[in-house]
Formats: sequence, C-alpha cells, structure tokens
Amino acid sequence: MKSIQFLIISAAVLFTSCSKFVDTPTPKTELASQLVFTDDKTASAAVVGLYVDMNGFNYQFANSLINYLSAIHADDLYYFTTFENYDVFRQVRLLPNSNYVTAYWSSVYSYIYHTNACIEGLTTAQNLTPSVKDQLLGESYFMRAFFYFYLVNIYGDVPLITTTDYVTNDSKGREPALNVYTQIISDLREAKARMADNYPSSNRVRPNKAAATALLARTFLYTKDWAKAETEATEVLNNSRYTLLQDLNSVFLANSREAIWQLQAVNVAGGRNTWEGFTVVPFSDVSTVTFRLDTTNLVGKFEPNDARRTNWTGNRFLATGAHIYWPMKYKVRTSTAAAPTEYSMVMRLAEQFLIRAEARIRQDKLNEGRSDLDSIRLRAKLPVLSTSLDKSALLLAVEKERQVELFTEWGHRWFDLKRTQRSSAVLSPIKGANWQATDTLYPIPTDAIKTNINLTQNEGYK
Amino acid sequence: MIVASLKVSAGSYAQSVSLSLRDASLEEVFTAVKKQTGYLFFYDRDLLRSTSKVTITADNQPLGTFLAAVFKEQPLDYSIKDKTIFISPKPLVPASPSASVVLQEIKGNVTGDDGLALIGVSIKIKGTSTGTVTDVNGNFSINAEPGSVLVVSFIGYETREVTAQAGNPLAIRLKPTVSSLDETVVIGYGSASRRNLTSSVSSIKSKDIANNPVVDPFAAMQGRLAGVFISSSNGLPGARFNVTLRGQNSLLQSNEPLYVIDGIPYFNEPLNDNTFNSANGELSPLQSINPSDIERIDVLKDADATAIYGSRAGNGVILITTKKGQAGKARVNFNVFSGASKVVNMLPVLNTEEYLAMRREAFANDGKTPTAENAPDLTVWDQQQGRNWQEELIGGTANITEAQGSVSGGTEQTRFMLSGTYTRQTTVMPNNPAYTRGASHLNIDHKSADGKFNITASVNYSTIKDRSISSDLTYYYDVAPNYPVYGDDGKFYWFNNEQNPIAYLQRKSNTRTNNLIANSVIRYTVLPGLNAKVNLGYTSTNMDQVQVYPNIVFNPQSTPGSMTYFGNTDVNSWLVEPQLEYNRTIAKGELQVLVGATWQQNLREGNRIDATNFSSDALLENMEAAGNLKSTFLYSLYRYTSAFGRITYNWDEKYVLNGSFRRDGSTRFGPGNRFGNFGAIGAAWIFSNENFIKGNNVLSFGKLRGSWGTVGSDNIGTNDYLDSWSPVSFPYDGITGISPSRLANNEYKWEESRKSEVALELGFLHDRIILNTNYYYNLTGNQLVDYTLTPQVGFGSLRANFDALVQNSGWEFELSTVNVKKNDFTWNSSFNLTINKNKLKKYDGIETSVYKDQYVVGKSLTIQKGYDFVRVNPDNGVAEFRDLDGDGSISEFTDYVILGQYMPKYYGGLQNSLRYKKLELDFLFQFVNQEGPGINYGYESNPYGVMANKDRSALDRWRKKGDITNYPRATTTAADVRWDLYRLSTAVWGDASYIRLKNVSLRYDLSDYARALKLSRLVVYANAQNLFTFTNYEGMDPETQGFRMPPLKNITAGIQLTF
Repeated sequence: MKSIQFLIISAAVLFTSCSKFVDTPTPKTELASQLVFTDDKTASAAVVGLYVDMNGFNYQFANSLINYLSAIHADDLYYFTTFENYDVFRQVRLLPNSNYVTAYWSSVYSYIYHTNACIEGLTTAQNLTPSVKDQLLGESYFMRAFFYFYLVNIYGDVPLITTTDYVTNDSKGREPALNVYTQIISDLREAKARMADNYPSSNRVRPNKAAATALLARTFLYTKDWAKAETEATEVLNNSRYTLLQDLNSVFLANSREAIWQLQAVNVAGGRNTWEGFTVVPFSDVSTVTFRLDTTNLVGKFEPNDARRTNWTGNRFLATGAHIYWPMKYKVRTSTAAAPTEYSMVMRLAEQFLIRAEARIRQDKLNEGRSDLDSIRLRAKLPVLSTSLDKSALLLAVEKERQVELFTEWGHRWFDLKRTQRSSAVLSPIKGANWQATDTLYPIPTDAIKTNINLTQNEGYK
Repeated sequence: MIVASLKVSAGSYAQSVSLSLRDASLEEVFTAVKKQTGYLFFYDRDLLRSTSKVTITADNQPLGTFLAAVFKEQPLDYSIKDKTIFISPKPLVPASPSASVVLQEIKGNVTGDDGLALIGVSIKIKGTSTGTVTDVNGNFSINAEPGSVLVVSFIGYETREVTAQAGNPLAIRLKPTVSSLDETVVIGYGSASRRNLTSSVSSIKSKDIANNPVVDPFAAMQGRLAGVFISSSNGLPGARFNVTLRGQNSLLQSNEPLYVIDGIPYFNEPLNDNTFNSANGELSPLQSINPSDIERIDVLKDADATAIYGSRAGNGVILITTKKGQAGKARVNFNVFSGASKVVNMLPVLNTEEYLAMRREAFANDGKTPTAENAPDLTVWDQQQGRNWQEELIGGTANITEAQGSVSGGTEQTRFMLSGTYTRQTTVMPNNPAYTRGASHLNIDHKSADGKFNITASVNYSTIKDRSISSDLTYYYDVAPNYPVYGDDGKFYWFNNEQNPIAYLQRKSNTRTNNLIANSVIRYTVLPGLNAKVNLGYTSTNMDQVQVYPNIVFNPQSTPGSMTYFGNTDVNSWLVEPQLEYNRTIAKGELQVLVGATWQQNLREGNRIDATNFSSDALLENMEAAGNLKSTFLYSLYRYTSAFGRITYNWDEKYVLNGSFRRDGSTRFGPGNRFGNFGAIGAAWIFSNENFIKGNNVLSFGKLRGSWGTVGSDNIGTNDYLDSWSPVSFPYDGITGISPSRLANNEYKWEESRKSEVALELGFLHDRIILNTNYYYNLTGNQLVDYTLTPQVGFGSLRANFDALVQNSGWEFELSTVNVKKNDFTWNSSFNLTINKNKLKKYDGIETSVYKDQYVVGKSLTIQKGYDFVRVNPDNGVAEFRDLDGDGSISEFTDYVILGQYMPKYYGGLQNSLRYKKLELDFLFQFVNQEGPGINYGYESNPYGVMANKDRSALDRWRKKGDITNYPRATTTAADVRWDLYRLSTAVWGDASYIRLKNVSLRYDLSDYARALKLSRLVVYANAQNLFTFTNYEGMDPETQGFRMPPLKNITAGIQLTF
C-alpha cells in the first residue's frame, strides 16, 4: 500500500506540468509587432525595410521588370534571343499565368501590405518624435499611392486594399480605376502635407515632399486634370534643390541633382551598382548584348545629333553586319569602387518638364508648353522646336520627346501610349496580328483569380 | 521438448532473487519470488501436501539457480512458460539398474553462434532436476553419469541435448532461437516481450544493419520493415531519405516520424534546412548515427505504441538503440571492409550523330536556319566528336571503406562497450570528393550488488567531413554532346546561358558536422516493485559549411563575381524525464504502471553568410578577404513539457490491456493553444494460451490484438504563430530595415490523428512459421496547412487548421518461416508486404477552395494532375490532348486529369537467410509498385530539337506525314508542338515500379582455423547493395526519379576478427 500512495503522490506532482516552461520569449531574430512603432529608430527601420524588399534582388517590380519588360512590351527594347518569359511581352501575348504577370501583382500587393502596416502602426504610435512620425507616415502614404499608381495603370480596376485585415481583404473585388485614383490623390496629399522639403539623410533615397508633389503632377496628367498637373509640376520645377543636369552622363549618378527620388543600390556583391546597369550593360566589348534597343522604333526616333543617343545608348556592329544599340543610361555593370556611384532612378526632374509641357499644351498654352519641351531638347543638344507647330503637332512632339528622354525608365512609354489612347495606332503595325486593343491592360494573374471568386478577368484574357 | 526448453530458459533469465528464509513453506517462497520477480506460480494445492519446509539464503541469485535449489529436495518439479512457473510432480526416476552408478565430473564450455562465451546457460541432466549454469567464461561442470543426456538451454537460443562424456571438456555451440516471439522489443519508455505486446512494432537488428555496406542507417532499413516506406533523395553520401510511415497524414506539413535515440528525441529536419544545399541536397538527419553502433531499430506504428509520445507521434516513432557491452572477459573486435560503387543505372541518350540529326530536323521543321547565334552546335562546334555526359559526370567508380574496432566486457554488475568507426566513401563524380565519418561510441552499465541501483550512460560522438561540389551534376545529363568544354584560349567555353558542367566541378563544397549524443538512465528500486528512474539526455550538433564559387566557374558574360557561402548550424537540446515504474501482481494478473514527465529544450541557431568582392580568388575561404558580406541568422527555441503515463495489465498471459496517456505543451503554438491531451488503449488476447488450444500441434501461438487512440503532430516551424517583423537583407540609407515576417495566426493547434488497428499474430509448428497480419485505419484531421490567400492580401498564405480529413488505411503482412533446419543447413525466409491506401476523405467545400486544382476528395494526397495526352497528330507531329471542358482550347486545370499518384500502391521485401555449415548467405529483394514522372516530365523538360540532348525516345519522334507515334516532331520552340502541355501530360507519366536485389551478404566463418592465431572468431564476408534492379521506368532510377544522381550499387568485402 505504501507503494501505491507513493505512486499516486508522485504522479500528481509530475502531472502538474509547468506551463511557464513553454512560455518562450520572442526569438532573437524577430521583433514582436507591438514593439515596432514605439521608438523613432525602429519605426524608421519598418518604413525603410520596404525599399530593400523592392530593390534588394533583381527581376523585381521596381527594377528590371518595370524598366525593361515594359520597354519590351512597348516598342523600345527587345531581348536578343527567344525567351518565353520576355517573348510574351514582346509579342503581346501575355497570359494570366505568365511568370512576370503574376510577380507584378503579388509583389506589389505585398509592398502595399507593408505600407498599410506602417500607416496603421504609425497612426496610433504614441512615443515618436512628431517630425519623424510625419516623415514616416508621409513616406508610407506616398509609397501606397506610388504602388496603386502602377497597379491601376497595369491592370485597370484593382482591389483597393488600405488595411492589413486579411479577413476582409481576402475577398475584395476590383475597385473602379477612378476610385483608385481618388485614393492615390488623397494619399499623396496626406504625404505632401506631412513631409518636409529635406530628405531624411544626405541621400535622395527616401521620398520627400517634392516626390509627393511630382507624383501628384504625374497623377493629374494621367487623370487629364491639366491645370493641377501644371501647378504641381511647377512647384517641383521651382524647387531649387533640383536642376536639369547639362551633363547627360551625370544624370543617373547617385544623388544626382536631377533626382527627385532614387532607390539606393544595396545588393552590391561583386562590385555591382544598380540592377538596371547590371542587367543591360554588356560585360565586355565582345560579349553578347542581351537587351537591345529597337533600332527602328526607338533608335530611329532620335533626331540627328541628339546627345541622348550618344550618351545614353551604346552601339556596336555585329559580325553579321547588324548595328545594335543598348541602353547606357546607367554606365556601371560592376566596378571596383568602394561604394556604388549609381543609384536606381525612380523620379527625376526631366519628367516634370515633360508633364508641364503636355499639361500646358493641353490647356492651349502652346508657347509655355513648347518652352518646357525646349528645355529638355536644349539639354540634349537639339534645336528648339519651331514656333509654327500647332497643338496636335506639339502633342506628338511631347510623345516623341517623352520616348527618347524616358526610354527604359519605369514603363513610361507603355503608359504614355495607353493614356493617350495611342497604343493601337503605334503598336498595332509593330506587333502585327498579335495586337488587340485589350492588350493595353495586363491580365489579372491566374493565382489571384483562382483564390478570390470576386475578381473578374480583364477583357481579352477570358 | 518444449517443456524442457522452457524450463531451462528460466534458469538463465536475468531476473534474480534475494531472499533469506528459514523453515518457510513453499507457498511463502512462491509469494516472495512473485513479489520480487513478477513471476506467477501455477500449481495444484494438493501437490504441496507432501512438501517439506525450505530454508534458503539467496543473494541476487538468478531465478533459475534459486528455483533449482528450492526444488532440489522437493518431490516437485517446475517449468517456466513466459512469466509463469508451473509446478508439477517430479517424474519418477526409474530405479537405477545398478547401485554402482558412478557420477563423474563432466566439464564443458558453451558458446554462441558467434563463438563467444555464453554466461548463465542452464545445463540440466535430462529427466532430473539436477542442473547448473555456466560461469562468465561459459564454462560449467556438473556431476553426471557418463552417457546421460545434458539439456543445454539459454534464452534466445535453441536448446540442445548433448551426451555427457568425461575427459575432454565438451564444446557446445548454441544457435540463436528461431522464434522471434520471445524477442524483447524496445517501446516508448520501456521494453516488452513481443509475445505480450498490444501494439504494432516492427524491428530490425544489428545483424541486418551490418549486412549493408552503407553510411546511413536509413539505407539499411529499406525493404525490411512493413509499413515504412523509405526512398533516397539521391545517390550521394549524406543525402536525405524520405521516410513515410503508414502513408501521408498531413496535407502540407512534414510527414517525418519522430526519431528517438536511446530515449532522446532527435531532430528530424535536415541540418542545412536554413542554410544551403550542396550536391547531396538536404542532409539526412541520421547521417551522424553510425549504423554499426546501432543494436536495433524499432518502429512504433499504431496509436497504442506511439500515444506515449503524444503530440509528436502522429507520423510514427522510430526508436534507435545503440549497442551495449556484455558481461564476460573483454572481447576485442575488428571489422574492416572495402569496396566499390557505381550508379545503378544511367539513361541512354542520343549519340552526337543522332543528336545533330534531330537538331537539323528541328530547324528544317521550323523553317529556320541554324546560325552561330541560335545553333552553335550545328554551325560552330565539332560535328563528329561528342561526349556521353553521364559517363563523364556520374560514371565513375566510388570507393567505400570502413574500419571498426570495439572492446566490450565487464562483470554482471558493470559492463562496458567502446567502439570507434572510420568510414570513407568517395563519389562517382570525376573529381571524386570524399565523404568521411569518424564515430565513437561508449556505453557503461552498472548496477549495485543488491540490484537496487542501476545507472547506464552512453556517449555517441561522430564527425563528418563531406567534401563535395555545390550541385548534383546529374542535372547536366542533357548538355549537347558536342558542347566544347574548353575554348580556343584553353579556358572554359561558354555559350549564352548554357552551363559548362566541367566548370561546375570547380564549385567546391566542404561540410563538417560534429554530433554528440549523451544520455544516462538512473534507476533506483525504492520499494520492491517500485522503481524511480530518470532519463537525462543531451545532444549537440554543429555543422559548418563552406561553398566556394571561383570566378572561373561562371559564364563571364553573366558572372556575379567570385563568391563563397558560409553556413553554420548548431542544434543543442537537453531532456529530463523523471519516471516511476510500478509492478505488482494482482490475482492472476500482472500490473505495470508507468508515470513520468518531460522537460525538453531544443535550440537551433545558425547563420548563412554570403561573401563576395574577394580581393583574390586564392582567398575565397577567408571571410576577411571578402569586400561584402551578407548574413542571415536563424534562431529557433523549442521547448516541450509533458506528463505521461501507461498502465498495462496482463492476466495470466492470456489477456493484456494497455492504456497510455500524455499531456503535452509545446512552444510551437500560440498562448492558449499550447497544451493538448493524447491517449490510446490497446488490448491483446493470446488465445493460444487458452486450454482449448494449448498443446495444439499445429498452432503454437495465436494472438488477436487491437488498439485505438489519438496522437498529434507539431512538425511545424517554431515561431510561425508570432506576429512579428524580421530584418531585411541589406542596410538602406544607413538604417537596417525590417519587414513584416508573416500574417500571424496564434489560434492554430496540432493536427490530430485518430488511429485504430487490429492484428492477428499466429505461430505454427513450434513457431517455425510466424504470420502477422495488421489492418490499420488512421484519420488525421484538424489539418494544419498554409492556407493560401489571394495575393492581394499581401502574403500568399496563412497558417491555420483546416477541417479536412486524411485517411490512411492498409494491410501489413509479415511472414517469417524456417524452411529448413538441419544441423548443417538452415534456411529462413521473411517476407513483408504493405498495402497502403491514402485518400482525402473529407474536405467540405473543396470545389470553391484554393485546393480544388491540387486535391480530389476520395483520392490520394499524392496525386499529380496534368493533361490527358491523346495522340501526336500524324499530319503535323503536334501533340494533341483531350479537351475536357470542350471549350476548344486546352487550358491549365480545367483540362487536367489525374496522371497518377506518387505514393506506392504496395511495397515490401523478401529476405532469405541460408547457412550451410560455416557459410552463410543472406539476400533481400525489395519491391515497390508505384507510378511516377518519366524523364520527360516537368517544366524543365525540353522538346526534341532544342539545344539539349534527349533520351532515346527521341528516335521514335514524328518525322514525316503519316507517322504514327507518341513522340512529337522535333522543334526549337516548345509551344509549336505543344511540348508545354506534353511535358505535363499522361504521355510522360508512367510505371515506376521496381524490384531490386537490395542486399546480398555472404559470410564464411573461419573461426575453426583461427584458434592458432589466438582468435576466438574470424569471419570473411562480402556484401552488396542495390545489385540488380528490374524496372520498366523511363528515366534514370525509379527510386530517386527525375534528374538526380541514382542510388549507388556497392560491392564490398571484409573481414571480422574477435580476440
């Protein structure tokens, strides 16, 4: 009997298992969410983390995809050999499950989650320095607007996600593009109101007030709100912090005076600078040039003596006699310098001249508009435009100037043709039978359609 | 005969008696013995009338010796069957024909099959109760009449009868017993006799492991265990094995069983899980365990066996027990073997001429002209010469060598074993990097003189150096045969994105793994029948990896520059498990109670550092010389606490009831969901012990058993419930950023499996035929999955429990037979067969869920969907597919059919062991009936005609109008012949069944010739692994499938000596 008693007592002791033992602290490698927005440093880290997610690796939305695939999609660029991932763009036969179609959508929405998490955390944060909080909140609003700007232009109507609540977000359907633009403008105004003229550091790698203003100008241009576009662009152009650099070879340097916002080159292993440069600058004088500028449709558009052709493109004759060109806006593939000398340009002053030129011409302020165009042309060592050009000729001049100024940058060419309803007129002859009017929008990715019954497919992909 | 054998087997049973009685009745003696040993006495009271009082003193005396002394002067005899002692009247000794019988001292020595002395063997004079036992050297002496018969018996060995002869000592050799029913199997927190088990346990022993010249214990388990399917992931040493126990229970979580080594749970994730892979891919967690240090492996399968491991037992439990010393004079053992290996099979591909013809045809079909830019193989490279890349890359011969030395010995009280093993295996790749492992094993076991206190401790340490390359070269089997390795400048030749496989050989990889497992069990007998026990365990594993990519291995046009990856992973864990065991006899039944608690901590820390911008390629292994370092850290702390208990009641060796329970708490779940309860009951009816069957000449053993219970699975990431942010990869603008780690859900709980089983175990003809039949039916619910969210949410998935039920049911058959049993010749066979049916039983609303394209209710979780190939159009050579939805186009998902399932339909093995005199032959056939993807399956498969070589099916391709074939025409653009669909269709999926002569072992015992060399034992042997494979699989190897290095066939020869 003694044994039994002993057994029962011991068992009782053992069974009173210690539950504290399994209360482990947050692992060293992670930071609990409730601690993120409690001090300036961590809150800044939370906002800045996004830029690394955007540009840490190649073939992301913010580097080779938007810069080069959009250019391939339009008429600026082609890949030297057959490669299905690129060919679907070049031959305008995107499918809902094409690789990069899926990547655009899911990565940009994951960035939007990040901005929403920051906006929610910062809005309720108590202990932050007010100026820091304003800058961070401004950056987050700006970034959300920036991402929606691209989504709405790539896909048309898109789900408008402004919280981190996955339960409601999981089933949201597409919001009309107009409402998405309303959200973009509202976010940009929030951003503009909060951010300072200064950058948070000596770099130009985090958005400031001018970036918000510049994106507002672009947004108004896209929504055909010409007067507002002119006003916002003027505000940026009047900002002495920014200058149109006369030396074309300096434009894409890190913290160039023309830069409104750049993404810092961070993954610089092997002496790499920007992913943009690493992707298109040939390894040597004899190595294969992989990304080539369209000789007819882009290179042919440069007027004689356009300094951009000599400074921003490379060229070479192949053994076959063909004369090929490639983008050389970024000069560095890899370098031995201690730090990168080039950063990825996201927004620069030249675009603001072109925005204002167009906005003014659309408002029939032809002279002022032409003068803005001339600013860009003069920098490219081209003569000023003839004063005899009428409005429609000037608008075509804007289109052409935008193409040769902004080629292989951030999808400008593709979006310009689309927003001016010129896609079919320009691209149909180039793309041939593959071209359909519905190609101006990407398909909604299969992954998204499959997982959300409220999503509908774009016309032309059903 | 049976009685005799059993009688003596008791004499040597490890149970011992300490007793001092004066003038006690036999019944008092019985009660005392029962208390101490748990043995029951079975007798007719009337028999005791004529007995005399007993006066005896025994100090830790073996039960047999004790009983012999007690009954010596009594008119009674005894016999022991299982744990019951039967009392019967002593047979009348025939009156001696003459009074002048002279007893003489008969001497002898008893050894086992291996020539080693057996201690405690019972020697009895037939027909009498006179007997003795052997001493520590196996020697005995007994006074007997010359010519009388001595019955020599020992548990685990066959009983022998020898004629007593005076003079020279008798040399008696015992053979291990045939009946596996008396084997002691290791179960959770204890051991049990297979005869009385209520649960499902399959085992393999050191002898079977030793027959396999392999570096990983998993390789030795293949084909030998019912219910356990093991396949290697590739043929390189250290590579991981896929282990599935009774089917796939979990939709997405790991289906790895729990590994327990000498009572200590061991990690089951590959060590390089969070760093990077080399050519051998994910590393086998058990590669650090030296197979020759393993005594036995027991696989616990049903709920009754595993519920004591609670939340971790959902996928079964594999218990590994290392070797222990045996009492006796010190034995020194050496074992050395060496041999060679080649891959089991290579894929026949086109030769240069055939390849170039296919390429030209492709260009002609496409109406294109080959140029230096699009077809250097047709325009620039050598048109005559070519390489068989498989021969060059994986066609070499690997060497395997192993040397082991061990010393073991000790006294009954203190035993020890120390061993050291060195293993070296090279690979079949041209630069032949070696994999070496040094392992040492120490075990000490001590018990106090009164037997109350017992401590065992063991230490296993191993160190592995795995020098390899970064990737499996088998992948490059399809490089164009005339691809030039070197350019005119003598440097590696590169073309566009093509890889130069020979340059790959310069991508070095060096992995060092050190592993320490230390454990101790301390037991104290508090009161008779009550033991207090504590298990203490510590494991420490460290892995250092370096992978070097010098600049020359990259295509200069796209080189990212030289780089080196450094990886480090540390896993440290400790365990404390106090336990109480209580044994007591109640009425005719024996009660065993176990209660215990667990505290376990497992800390996994690691980092991966990518180093670039080296100042010189000569300094690539020096992190300091790197201009740029990028690091990622891993930290995962896992704690685990539980209380557990088990009650077993065995009524008269006829009815056994077993109940177990465990309450577990794990840090892998959010607060509030950390604790769970698990339990099982099992019952067995040993009907052969019922009077109506007992003594049946045909049926010697019969047991019907069943079990039911619940177990869980917490095989998920350690912190996956946490709402947190993690550092991003690079600093930005002077700030190290952070990013949300995941969508957090701290509501999820364990997956829970409800398992039931019934089994019939039968032994025929004195257990010469043993047939076990199991049927199991397991349902796993509360499925823990990464529930896919629509991407607009911001994360692709959310971890959550899902109301889906997965069913695994099946039959397992194990048959072992003694076909021939003669003195000079024995032949034993064993056969196992597992038929598992796996299906998604229930999934409400699957049609609207994200899994609608992946799973089908009523079908296996391992199905693969794809297009339904109809034909290759004879007019144009384009593949055609069935348009299921009739919309006029073939589209993903809507036109998918089920191609088949990856999980085998049935599998098993057939082992034969033959012995003729001193020659022994063992061979094992493994068979698997399954389907799988052929060589042309998958997104990476290229059509006939692009710049990649093809298997010989290319010769049957469509060539001209009217050709009837299943192989599309040659083209340079996949879409032109719908290869994009073809490679995911029924056309490239098929039978992957195989029968493999898995293992052959031939041994010759030369001990008789070795005495002169002062050797007690000398054996020479030859072993082979994966010797022949019979398969219709269209690819490299049906076990590994895809473009992975096939398993190796090894042939080795060795010698084993014992001093």
